[in-house]
Amino acid sequence: MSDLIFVSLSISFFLVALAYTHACQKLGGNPDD
Amino acid sequence: MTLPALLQLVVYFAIIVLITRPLGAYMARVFAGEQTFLSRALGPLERWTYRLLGVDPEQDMKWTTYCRAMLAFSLVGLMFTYGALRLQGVLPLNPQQLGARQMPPHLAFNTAVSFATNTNWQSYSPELTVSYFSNMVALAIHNWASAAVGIAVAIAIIRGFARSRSSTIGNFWADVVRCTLYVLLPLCLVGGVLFVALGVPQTFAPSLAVTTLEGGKQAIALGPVASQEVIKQLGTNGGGFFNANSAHPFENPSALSNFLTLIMIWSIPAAITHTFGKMVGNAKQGWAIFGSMAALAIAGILVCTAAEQAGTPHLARAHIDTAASALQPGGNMEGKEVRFGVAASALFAAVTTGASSGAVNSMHDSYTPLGGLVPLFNMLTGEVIFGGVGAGLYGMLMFAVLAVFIAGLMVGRTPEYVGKKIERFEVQMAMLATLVLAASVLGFTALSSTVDLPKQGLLAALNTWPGSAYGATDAALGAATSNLGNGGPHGFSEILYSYASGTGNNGSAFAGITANTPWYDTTLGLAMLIGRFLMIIPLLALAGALAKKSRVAVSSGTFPTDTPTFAALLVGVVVIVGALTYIPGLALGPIVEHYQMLALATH
Repeated sequence: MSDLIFVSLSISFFLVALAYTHACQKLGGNPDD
Repeated sequence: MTLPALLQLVVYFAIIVLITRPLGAYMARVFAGEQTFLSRALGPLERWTYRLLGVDPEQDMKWTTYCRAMLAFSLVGLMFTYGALRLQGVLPLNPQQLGARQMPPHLAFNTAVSFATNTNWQSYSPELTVSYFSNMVALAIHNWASAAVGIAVAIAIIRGFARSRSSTIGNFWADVVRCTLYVLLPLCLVGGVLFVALGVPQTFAPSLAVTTLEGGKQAIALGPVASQEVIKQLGTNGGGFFNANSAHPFENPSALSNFLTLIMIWSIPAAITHTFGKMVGNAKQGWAIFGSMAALAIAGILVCTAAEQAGTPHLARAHIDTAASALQPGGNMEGKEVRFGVAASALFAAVTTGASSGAVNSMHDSYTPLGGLVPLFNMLTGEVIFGGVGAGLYGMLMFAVLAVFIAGLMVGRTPEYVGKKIERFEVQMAMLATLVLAASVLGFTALSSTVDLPKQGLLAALNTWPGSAYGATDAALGAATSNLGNGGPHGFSEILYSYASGTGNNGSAFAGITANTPWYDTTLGLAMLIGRFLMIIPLLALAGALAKKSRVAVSSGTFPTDTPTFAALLVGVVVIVGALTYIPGLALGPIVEHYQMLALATH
């Protein structure tokens, strides 16, 4: 159970990082980069 | 400060300067894909690796593709390490028969994140927790990979400054492969042999059982130390094979190995400033960055050494002789190895925290308040004093963007840096990277200074030390401040230091804090992830935006950035941003502790 929590936490962080990448991309006004 | 301490500093910096130009120029050739003296030997291996990975090294990536590749690579590595650590009980090379019990999920998460982010914070005691397999495969793989990722990202960001009207910043996979094969591998081979020659063990034998002079039994831990030690230092990783890290005689047997270690820590971070200069076509740009880093470094080393050499008024009042002499180093020797003394310990502390190394040869928790403030400030400024491999340079480039922006505001010129106009988006990205670090350090420090968990019930598990796995008993600690070895401002410094070290991907510990509980393992793990990736992403975005721009010709309106004036401005920006952000925190910790020490000594 605990393993599932920490594996999910790790994957969730990287999904947030991908969303953050997309937000930076949009802020730059170049969504097609 | 003693004469040997000054001489040591001069010789050390002379060697770093001598290394910078040839190694920096070599790395510029490596990352440009040019032939080097190692191409004949390693070229086939490089091409074979590309074929195996299905990578075309000539196919450059946009910043977003580069970023996604970096994130995917890091996530896969993190998950692999998490699994290997949890399964170490059924994996080979485990003569001490360590298992999942010694590596509970929260500790495995913290450790896997720690090594994947080049932090190497160790909430665990290596001798009691990780098998040889875990050390050599699950952890060591990141000593190489996370260092290579840091350097690759720095090179990609340099390309953003160097390229003109380009939508790409390089190929992530090619950068990582080239860095590993042509930079880290040869340096580690030479360094590893040197360490073995200086007495560092390299063996698969289990611990030795010996009888001490008093007749007691003692287990002396051994292992493949030299091969771990060299990449630990060259890759600014810092995670020790032994709990005592570089204070352990098997990791750092002599003054000579100590000096070699110091050179290894700063060699690549210093050299990459010259790589920057070469790649942007003006070596003086690299030397200006080097000068800023060196000025900050020397100031920190001088303050730290002077504070430790002066000792404390308590020692003087207790009639303890703290003067340096031929027979003793003098000063504050608590927490320091007698083999190294004050000068080699203070220099090590400043070097390891200026870089994102985190290796320690003395216990920073035992430093005088002002002596301990230096390592803390080095980390809080974003570890740009040469910094981590790659990370130091891209951190300093972030400050350079802010510096030209501020200079532009002051003198009314359009900000430019190495021929690129710095506009709204670039400043936004640089500020985002700066603020993310501050939010993580200060936010988690505030949280751990105040959170009060119950000692019984379901929530008690959140801050329970799993002592039964290590031959003791479990201990529910309750409030996060209960994990500290000290109360008051020194205890606050222990918390601030931990999150500064985690967020800055340094990994050194102030000691005195019981970090192996779910609360600290998880929050420190998150701080490491934020400090690594949420800083890199906006800087890659900045590089992507800059790569698209044309290079502007130098004109009378251009603010020169390859001069001592700019180097001084850069130092000012680093200090001012660091001071404005963290002085309140430092005032609650080491600064008030310093005055407390003086007041107690006079009463």
